[in-house]
Amino acid sequence: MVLRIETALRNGLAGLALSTALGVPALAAEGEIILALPSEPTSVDACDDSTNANARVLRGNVVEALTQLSPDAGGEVMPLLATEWTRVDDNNWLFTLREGVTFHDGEPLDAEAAVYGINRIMNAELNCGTLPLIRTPTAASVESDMVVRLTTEDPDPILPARMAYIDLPSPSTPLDAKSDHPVGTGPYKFVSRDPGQSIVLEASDDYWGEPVDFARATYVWRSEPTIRASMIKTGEADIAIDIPFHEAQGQPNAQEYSTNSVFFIRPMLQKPPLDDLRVRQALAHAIDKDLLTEVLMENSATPTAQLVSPLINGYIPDFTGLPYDPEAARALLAEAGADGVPVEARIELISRTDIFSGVNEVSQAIQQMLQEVGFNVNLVSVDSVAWSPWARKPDSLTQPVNLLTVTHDNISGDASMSFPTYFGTEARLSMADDEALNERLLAANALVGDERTEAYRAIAQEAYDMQIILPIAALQSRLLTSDKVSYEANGFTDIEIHLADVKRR
Amino acid sequence: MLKFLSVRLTTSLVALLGVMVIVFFLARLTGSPAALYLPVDATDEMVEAFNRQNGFDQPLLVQFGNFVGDALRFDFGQSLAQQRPAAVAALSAMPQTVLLAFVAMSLTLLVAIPLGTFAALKPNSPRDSAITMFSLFTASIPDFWFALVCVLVFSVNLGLLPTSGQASLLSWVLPVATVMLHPVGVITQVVRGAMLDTLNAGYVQNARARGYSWRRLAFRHALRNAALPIITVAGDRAGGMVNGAVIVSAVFAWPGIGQVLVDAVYNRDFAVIQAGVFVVGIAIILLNILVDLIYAAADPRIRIS
Repeated sequence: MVLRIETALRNGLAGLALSTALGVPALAAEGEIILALPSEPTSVDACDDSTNANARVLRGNVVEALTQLSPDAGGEVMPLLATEWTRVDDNNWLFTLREGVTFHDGEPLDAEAAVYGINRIMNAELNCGTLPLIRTPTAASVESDMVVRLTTEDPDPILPARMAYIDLPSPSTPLDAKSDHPVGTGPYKFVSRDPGQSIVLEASDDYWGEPVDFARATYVWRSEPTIRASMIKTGEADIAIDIPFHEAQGQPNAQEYSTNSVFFIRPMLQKPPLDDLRVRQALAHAIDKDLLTEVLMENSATPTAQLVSPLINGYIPDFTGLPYDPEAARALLAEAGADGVPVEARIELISRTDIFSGVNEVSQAIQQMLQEVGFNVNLVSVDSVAWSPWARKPDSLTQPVNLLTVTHDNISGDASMSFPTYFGTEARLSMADDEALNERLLAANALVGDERTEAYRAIAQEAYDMQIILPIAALQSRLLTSDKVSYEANGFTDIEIHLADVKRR
Repeated sequence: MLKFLSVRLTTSLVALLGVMVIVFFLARLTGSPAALYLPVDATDEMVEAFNRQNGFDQPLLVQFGNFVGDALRFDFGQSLAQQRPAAVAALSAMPQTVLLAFVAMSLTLLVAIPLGTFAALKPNSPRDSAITMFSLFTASIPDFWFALVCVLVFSVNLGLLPTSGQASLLSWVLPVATVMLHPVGVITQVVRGAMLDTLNAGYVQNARARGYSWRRLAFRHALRNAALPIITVAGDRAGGMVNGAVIVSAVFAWPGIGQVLVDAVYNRDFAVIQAGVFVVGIAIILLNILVDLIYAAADPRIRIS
């Protein structure tokens, strides 16, 4: 079955073909843009494009994948280095590669090159950040010159979407070592990296797609948001992201964008008192999300009751969860206490300090709200490394009873990238131990279309009713652009900033 | 002199060795880098492979033995975050750090010594009060706030200076001003106090009675005798500039060793932490020896032996 065939060239390509046919020369890339970002990549190997800091620079700019997800169409899978794909049977797929594509080092993109890149990522010894996104062992093989066969151990109906995360490096990239000079097929070539300072990219003359507007792009890292915003105001930078509300207010070129990230609390379900549903419902009633988002999160978040955004097929329309109701929380706690649940037991609130700006104040407010209805909450602030033993199994199962602060984002359009992680029994980050729910997750993963959507919605409903997680807020941010450039923020801006979308004004 | 230097170097290196041992074990108490460099839902196999490849699967004492063996060859290992040798990561940040410290401390002394001296020449006068107020203000003002306000005023509103980076000489102005802020205030007060003591000494009163000019008295005789506490505090502050200036790095993206070390701690980049501490330690040792030599030059009663 052909799931997706490229039926028409994208508008830009069509325009380019038309202008070429009419003899109108395409404008050459010239000038430079400077992007001020909060953090530099921890790795510039294409196989580590799983974090925002890495993917923002590389994905879609230096390296590209077989497919890409549409930022504004619910994660619809679109062609990129593959022009079409076919599901041969439950476990086998054929991807046809785009003709005429070369890597920046001159190597042609053919089935051998694609197979090399995909199998390189599957090598557990290489520790690629994108590997956990491939949920079932997947092997690539050459079907013909320009056709790649992908074979999955278990059926994976959303494999084309997963392939959007697997950026293909040149076959000259080391097989068993990370590269510090990525070579891909994207519109920009990697030129240099000055650790802690900058990364420089240069437009590729041989790019297969639409020409870009700017010949050079320099990324600089400025951890302080005031400085990022100031760089736009003084003309030192052309795009600055992750700008707080007060810095963007009144700025002519400010845009808001969704980070696709949801902030939630994960209760430890294994130990009292949080193993009691009434206690968890009391938690949900006790937290005033409106107050948190409007006041403490400075309009950079909206209250939510769900783990995923409306872009994801497991999103339940109009579901709002339990309302803020401290009286109901007190009543539920009293009822649980009367039944012998140790509701006065100390609960650790594990606040990870780097998940968003201002999380410390938000965690303190949550602690206060919970204490007001009768919980005994102790706030523990940790960085990402110290957070890990509280978050990941098996260590997380031996910790004192706790509430863990977490953020999660999913741009794939599919709930399989979210729900098993937090509702499944096997997942590292999950506290859920409901075998029946886990079976339903496994079954849902094999479905397609509306059946898949309905299955995931039903799973989500049950998970939210059981208060397996307590969603608090969907996070937003802002960016500023200079007068020199035009860039429309989209659903992926926080994760990928495609320089091809940045135009000269 | 040579004996003094060799003894001083030896004792300092022993201290540095102790610091390195403590840093090695303390760094490893902060948690496994695997939690940071691998996705949160990484498999056991990925964690095992990561630990094996980076030697974290070895017993701690074996890791320490390997570290000592490598460090003796000045090989501190590979930076996890920067994908280059840790020694290169640490050393590459030192020239900018030392240059910034040198420029900032020179300017600090150029400002603080005359200010403190003028204040001491007429104690409790309006001039003294104004200088004291100024020095207390600069010593107390939060440097992070000062740096951001300077950016808003001089870069955003007046357009005179760049916000950050190192694109031109003008980029030095705000980082240097921020680094100077506290030392100017503190050293001005130290100069004032030391000069007040010296100017009240009998030999100065005697010289004054003989009609020496205040300028000759202050800068030729009194200042030299007041120099020791000034050198002590300036040396201490210079040490802070060499190993710190984190604010400057954070706000102005100045590529200094302070930021390299802070990033290395956040990134659990043990190799860079160790290399950074070693490099800073050597710099501090050299600075302390320099301060000792300046003591001897300033006060002939101090013998370097």
